[in-house]
This record gives sequence, C-alpha cells and structure tokens, in this order.
Amino acid sequence: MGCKRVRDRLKPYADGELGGSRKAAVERHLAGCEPCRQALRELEGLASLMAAAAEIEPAAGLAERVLAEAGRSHRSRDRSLLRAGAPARVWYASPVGWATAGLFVAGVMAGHLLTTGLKQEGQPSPARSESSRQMVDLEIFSVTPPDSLEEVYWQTLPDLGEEAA
Amino acid sequence: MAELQRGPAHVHSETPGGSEPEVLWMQRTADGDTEAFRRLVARYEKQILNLAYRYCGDPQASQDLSQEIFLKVYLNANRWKPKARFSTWLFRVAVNHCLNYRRDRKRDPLRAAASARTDSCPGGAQEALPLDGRGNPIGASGPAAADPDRREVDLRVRRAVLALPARQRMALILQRYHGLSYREIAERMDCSQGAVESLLVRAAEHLRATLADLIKEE
Repeated sequence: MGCKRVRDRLKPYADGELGGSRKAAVERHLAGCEPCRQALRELEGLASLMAAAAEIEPAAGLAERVLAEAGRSHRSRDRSLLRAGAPARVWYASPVGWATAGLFVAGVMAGHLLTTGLKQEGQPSPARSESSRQMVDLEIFSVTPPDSLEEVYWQTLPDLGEEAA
Repeated sequence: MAELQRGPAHVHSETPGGSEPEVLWMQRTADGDTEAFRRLVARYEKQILNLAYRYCGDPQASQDLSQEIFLKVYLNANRWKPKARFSTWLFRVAVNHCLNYRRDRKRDPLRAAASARTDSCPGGAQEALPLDGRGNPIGASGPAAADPDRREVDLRVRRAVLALPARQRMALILQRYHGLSYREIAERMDCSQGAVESLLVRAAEHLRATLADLIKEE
C-alpha cells in the first residue's frame, strides 16, 4: 500500500475505526515509512489541540422560553418551524373545510341543474322537453294546442319533477 | 409528578429505547406534561448548545439555535416513535437545523454580510467570535478558558474549525467534541459511514495545514 492510500486512512486509523485487513495494511506500511509516521503524529497532535476546547453554558430558562414560544405557536398556528413535521393547514384537514367544500359542490350542481334546464328558443333540451311533454301528455284531456303559447311555456320550464306545473 | 419520580422502570420494555428515561419523558411531553419536557431540556441543553456553538461560533446565535431545536422537539413530541435512541433522534434534529441555519443565513443579506467572514476561508473566522475582556469567547468555560496559554491556541483552533466547509465541520464536531463513532455520526448526519470517513479525512487535512505551527509545538 502506497503512502497516498495510507494517508487517506490515517484519520480512521488514529480514531480506532479501522479493522481487519485495512488496519493491518496501514500498520505494515507505518512500520517502514517515517513520513507517514510523522503524519500520524501530527494527527494525534491535532486531536490533543482540540481536546481542551472551551464550552459555553446555557442561559437560564431555556425550557420556559420554548414553552412560551410553543404557546404562541399554537395560538397563531402558522409558524414556519412546523415544517419539522406538523401537518400543513389545508382545507381537507378540517371538518369545516369539508363542509364548505360540500356546500360549494352542491351549489355548483344546483346551478347546473337550473341553467341546463333552460333551453334557448328553438333549441329545446331533449331531456327537458321530453319530461315536460310527458307531463303535458299526462293531461290527457288537455285542450292545449301543441303550437300554442301555453305549450311553448311548458316546454321552456326546467324539469323540476313533481314541482312542475 | 409522582409517576415521573418512579423513573424508567415503568417505561414499556418492548420499545428499542425502553430503558431510557427520555422515552418516558417524551411520552409525557406528548401528553402535555411540561415538567417532563423540562427534564429533557435539562439533560441535553448543554450538549445541544455547544454543538450549535462550535458549528456557528456565535454564542447568541447558538442560544437561539438551541431554543429552536428544542421547540421542534416539543412540537413534534406526539409524532416521535422510540424506534431509535432519543439522543440519536435529538442530534439528528439538531444537526439538520444547524446545517439549514447556514443555508437560511445566506438568504438574509444582513446576516450574510455579518457572517461572510466566517465562510470557508482560512482565517476568515477571525471576527466571528465575540470575546470578553480576557479574550475568551463570551460565556466560555473549561480548561482553555481558564488557562491564558491555552486561550490563544483554543481561539485559533476554533477559528480553523469554523473555516471548514459545513458538513466537514459538523462531522468533526460530532467526532471530536461529542465522542461519537463514525457509525453514530452517520446516523445523525443521515449519510454512510464511508461519507463520514471522507468528511473527517478532508477536515483533518485542512486543519493540519492551518494549524501546522501549533501542532509542531505540541
């Protein structure tokens, strides 16, 4: 094993992270290479330099500040830190959202029924005119002529089921 | 409160971290027990604070980072499952938050301008460490703070560490200051052991070059 490969393994070797054949190969090389042994000593010196690093002490009341911030977070409900895992606030996450969506859909459907039931003059909706005609046909003793204004009136009505007429 | 004092004996033994008191405290925190959360904070606040401090070099910013990290712990207590040790999970949250802090800082022009000198540039961290009247980083303790001869060495070492690229810096801090193995570092940084080894080899090479004169004196 050449010096370049050994140098790449000196750090894990010095940290006790090499095992088996990798460790044996490094040790064989070190036994016969002074520059690599010097490099190993420098790594150990670096570790010694870092050993006595200063620490800082936590400011008092960290837990209380966190709890106070969490209280504000729950009240405002729009903290960016919630990206760590809390569910996003979307409409499908709440019953109110579903109720609102349901009302919206019902409104759209009702509007569709109302608007598609109205036909343009001369262009009757086949389903609507048929149902209207059925209702007219039920009046078997009706005296309404088919081309009368009354007949046209019935044909323009939306299909409201039992509410027709 | 009485239940808390019974300690880890009443933690469910079938959970992987079942023998840790932290598991019980997290479960209690999820149930709204603020005293349990205070115990978690008391146990880990110094470790997390100094992880943030060694990473960013700013005592005030590290206090803010530490608060944000524990806020994440609190807000996600009901989502945490004891599949791994609590400390592993906590450090992963802290590592990710510190690494994201650096990216977020770049988007803030005022903070970026104030911190630009600490980015990956040898010697660039010279003005990033607020010092007290004796030349110690404010709030510092330990042998390096007490010994005048060590103070200058410690300052140079810390500046050299701050000048490392973010992930190399984080891996080195976890290995050298928190005593973690390569496997443990990989779990906290969410990468492979091979990646950790590569980060540490490059970090060591940078520091050897920067601190060569100090190393030879040792």
